[in-house]
Amino acid sequence: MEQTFDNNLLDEALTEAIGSEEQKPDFEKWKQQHPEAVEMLISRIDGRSSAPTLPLYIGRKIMKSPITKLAVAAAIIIAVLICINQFYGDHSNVFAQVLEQIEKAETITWKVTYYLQVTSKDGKRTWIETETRHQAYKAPGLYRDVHSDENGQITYWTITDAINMKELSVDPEEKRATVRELAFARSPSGPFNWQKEEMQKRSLEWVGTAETETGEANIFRASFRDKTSNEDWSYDFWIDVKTKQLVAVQVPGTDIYDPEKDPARMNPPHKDWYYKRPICHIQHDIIYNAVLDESLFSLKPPEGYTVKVEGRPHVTEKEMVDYLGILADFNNKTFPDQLFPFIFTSDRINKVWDKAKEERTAAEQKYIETMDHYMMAGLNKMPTGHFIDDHTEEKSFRYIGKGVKLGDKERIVCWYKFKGSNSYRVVYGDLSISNVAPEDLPLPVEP
Amino acid sequence: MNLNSETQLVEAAQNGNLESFGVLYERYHSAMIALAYSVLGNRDLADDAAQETFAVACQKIGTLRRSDKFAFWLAGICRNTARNVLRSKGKDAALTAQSRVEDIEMGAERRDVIRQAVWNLSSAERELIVLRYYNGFSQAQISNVMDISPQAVNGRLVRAKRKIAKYLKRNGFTGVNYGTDI
Repeated sequence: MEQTFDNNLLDEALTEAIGSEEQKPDFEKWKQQHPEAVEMLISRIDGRSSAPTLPLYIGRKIMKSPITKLAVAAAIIIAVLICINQFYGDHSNVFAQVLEQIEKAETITWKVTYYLQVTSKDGKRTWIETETRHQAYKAPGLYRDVHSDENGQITYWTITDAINMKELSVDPEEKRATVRELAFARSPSGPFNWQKEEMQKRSLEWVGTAETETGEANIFRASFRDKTSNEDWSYDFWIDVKTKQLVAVQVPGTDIYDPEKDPARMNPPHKDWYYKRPICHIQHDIIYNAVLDESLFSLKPPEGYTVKVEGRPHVTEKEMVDYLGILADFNNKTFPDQLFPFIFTSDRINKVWDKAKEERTAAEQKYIETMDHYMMAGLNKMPTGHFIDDHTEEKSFRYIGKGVKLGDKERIVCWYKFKGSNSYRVVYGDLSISNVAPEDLPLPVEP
Repeated sequence: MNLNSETQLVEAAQNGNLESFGVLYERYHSAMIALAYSVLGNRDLADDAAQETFAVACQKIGTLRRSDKFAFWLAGICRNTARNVLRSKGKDAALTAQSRVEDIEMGAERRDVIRQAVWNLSSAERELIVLRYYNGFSQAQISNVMDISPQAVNGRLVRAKRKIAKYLKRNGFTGVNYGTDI
């Protein structure tokens, strides 16, 4: 029979040989070091459902130039912002409970699915691409926006502090982070502001019910004529029957675009695409007051990442004046009728975007490139708007360029007063600038 | 261990609750380092592999069908991760092993020979020994990670230790009774 070994002595020897002092787990540090993994886990908080079978709005801008998905995404956001501001109308106070739940929510998570109509280089084929983002809000004023590729892998995310106007964007693949000051941000008071306004101000029609992951929802539609495009437009609001919570929004409504019925949805994608047109978006899986970790909204770059710091974007006087010249050149060498609320109709812009690059005039191409440039520069307004906000005395900007020919040295296009200045800066049709006393302006100015 | 609590934690993590995942992280952090160490034989690499294990788990937790098997599932990820590290660090790992042999040949510390005895075991036995002696995990904790009963843990531990004792005897550890008088 085998003699048993000295168990205690061997235990001691083994402990001495391979034992280790216990390393205290540091989950906070681990989170910092593995932001992508954290993102993946957090993305599950929105539920595991796929997008419901309804879509949402994006904007009406057509992008013809082969710009990146980022550019498409930025265009989508800006288009939404531009259009939203023009869609005020009739009052509707039916959904007080819905609005209250949005306003009182400490956190909200949701997904946004964008539908892009893609056209091949030869212009003969179209197909539909979708892109879903995970978004979250935490009061006060903090937003998360997570972007993924077609395989669900996170490509980048942003954290926005809408109160302090700061943003962190993170590229996990490249291990790069950018901290920037913002010229504009989403509402500090929380998401779904335009939806709230639309529900309050428009006449809403009940159009049916639909099943969701959490139950049944009533669908209410706001239908109207879009002043910018002069086309019919609509929003579909999904309200949970039991909780009275807004659970989805589709823009435009299914009366305008139904992704389930679009013939192009069955077309196979092709690698050579020429342009992508956002045609619909859906905000869905909206969840209120989910428990969200503070670190999800941290503006601190992940450890080990290359960090770039960017200041707030600005538009200089020269850039603003150059922009006016580009507008005039585009507009048959005549300064446009107005700068606000919009310069050209979307229909007119879309026609230019629809053209192939080689078919555009030099002025058209310059205009498109300028729009793309400012769209990607982190500005939510066109250069004139930002220039006015950042550099001029309130209400000092006056545009009288309607009908002025580009190159006209005598006629005034606009004037404004720099902050702290006593005189006015006057821009002429030839884009020259001079300082002018208030009494020498052709029209009276406010004291 | 409160199994219900753990299944709840796992399910909450599967629904995106980071805090719950954090509790699981703290609960199994040391065990995963030990497990990785049993593959890699290097504490720094083991720590890296353990961290990566939780990163993978974080991303794959939705694929876990049985929330009561989280520890076993996590251990599987850890083994794979550690093996990947071993493959990617092949040369370094080999050098480390070579150093151990050289140390022994040079008559260095007894703990090096004991480590060699442990690394001479099968991978399953080595896992068990390292889990037991790296941070002194209980049989219950080990049974949870390895998904075997505590009794089986005990039996396998005894057998593995016998093998170690034999190895030590073969390698000249007769002056002091480390259980080598078998």
